[in-house]
Amino acid sequence: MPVRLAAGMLESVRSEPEKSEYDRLEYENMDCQKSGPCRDKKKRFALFKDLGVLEYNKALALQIKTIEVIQDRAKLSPCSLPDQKYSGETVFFVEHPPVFTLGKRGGLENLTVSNEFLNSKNVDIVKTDRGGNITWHGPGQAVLYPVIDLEKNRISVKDFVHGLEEIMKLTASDFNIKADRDRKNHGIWVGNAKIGSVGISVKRGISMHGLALNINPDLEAFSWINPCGLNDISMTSLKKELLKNKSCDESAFIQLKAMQDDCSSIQLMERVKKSFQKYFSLVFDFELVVRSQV
Amino acid sequence: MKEINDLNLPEDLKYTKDHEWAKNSDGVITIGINDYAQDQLGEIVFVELPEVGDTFEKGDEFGSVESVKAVSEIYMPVAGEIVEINEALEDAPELVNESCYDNGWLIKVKIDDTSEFEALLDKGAYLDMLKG
Repeated sequence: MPVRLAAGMLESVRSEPEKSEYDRLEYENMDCQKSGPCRDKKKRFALFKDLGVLEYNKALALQIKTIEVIQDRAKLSPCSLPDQKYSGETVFFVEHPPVFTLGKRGGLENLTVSNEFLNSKNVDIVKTDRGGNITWHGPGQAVLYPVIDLEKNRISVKDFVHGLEEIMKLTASDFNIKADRDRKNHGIWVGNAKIGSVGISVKRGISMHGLALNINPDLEAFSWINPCGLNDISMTSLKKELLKNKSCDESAFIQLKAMQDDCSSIQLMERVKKSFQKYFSLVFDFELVVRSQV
Repeated sequence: MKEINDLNLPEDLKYTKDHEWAKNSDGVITIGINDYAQDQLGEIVFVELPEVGDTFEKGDEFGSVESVKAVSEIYMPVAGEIVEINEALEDAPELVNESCYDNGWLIKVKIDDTSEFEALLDKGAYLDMLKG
């Protein structure tokens, strides 16, 4: 199975960073003006961290910890912070090992296979407090978790969800794939097939969870659920769409042709990561400070 | 999003920095989310409320409001015991958007001490906070 192979190879290269990196949440070593003017309140800054391949629960714990950091730093005077520009707000880029997640109101009723079957496939189910219904995450899917102080930045929840969808739409357009919202359903679609999902929660004005865009995952797992609680929908991916129309983005197609070569798979994910960075900055007017992977 | 000047903020209510409103009727505080909150959340599709009889401290999370694809926690502006919840919201969560100060109220709380209520923001102070 070439996709599985690609995903496995991917894991070995985009490996999990050392624990100390996300336990410590270091901001103090950032290159910033220690004696400069106080943080410009009009400017929005956030860190961008690539977590590589990380288990869902670990990424969840990291987001919760980041919210605590943001809350702690918000209590301090900006002038007392050694790195005045950084509020602790962080955008995490990650791929997960296979997992199903449920929304705040559940979604287990939209699982169409038995628990025994999932056990045999070694796929966990995690209950979360985000909006939306059941979904799948796994290798080959690009996930973005922006932990952002919406209240401080005066970004409405409505606009934030809309903006996350916009990031996926614009990212697809970088591959010459026309993706858009659906009038009835949220998320991002190519024709009648869903390519990207969104779901967030807001605690004390700070966002967590985010978006998931299918790049080159094994889409089979989506057939075990009614994704997002919707019946009779099909899922798609950048890879699937690129293969349908190989002339639309030649460079990406060439990468796909060589998908058994894991370097190509990584290049595709890297292109998506760059698009996410570019469009997150553009859509939400943020300056992202990219932390290189450990 | 509405402009600050277009917000409906009744003079006779108290407000919180979390964009809730509160009204005191003989020691029972009615609580809801205000016009700013309902507007910035968008279309509300589900409201999760506590049970009657539950007690909370000021600042505790007492429920959540789900707008499309987003769950936002809501917090107690005062400490007290839940004496009534708005059961109509179970079938009609849109009431929070349509009538946030009237049919879209969330909970009623019995308090022992009115000082926490008195310390909440009046309209002017709340508007000052929004204008930041």
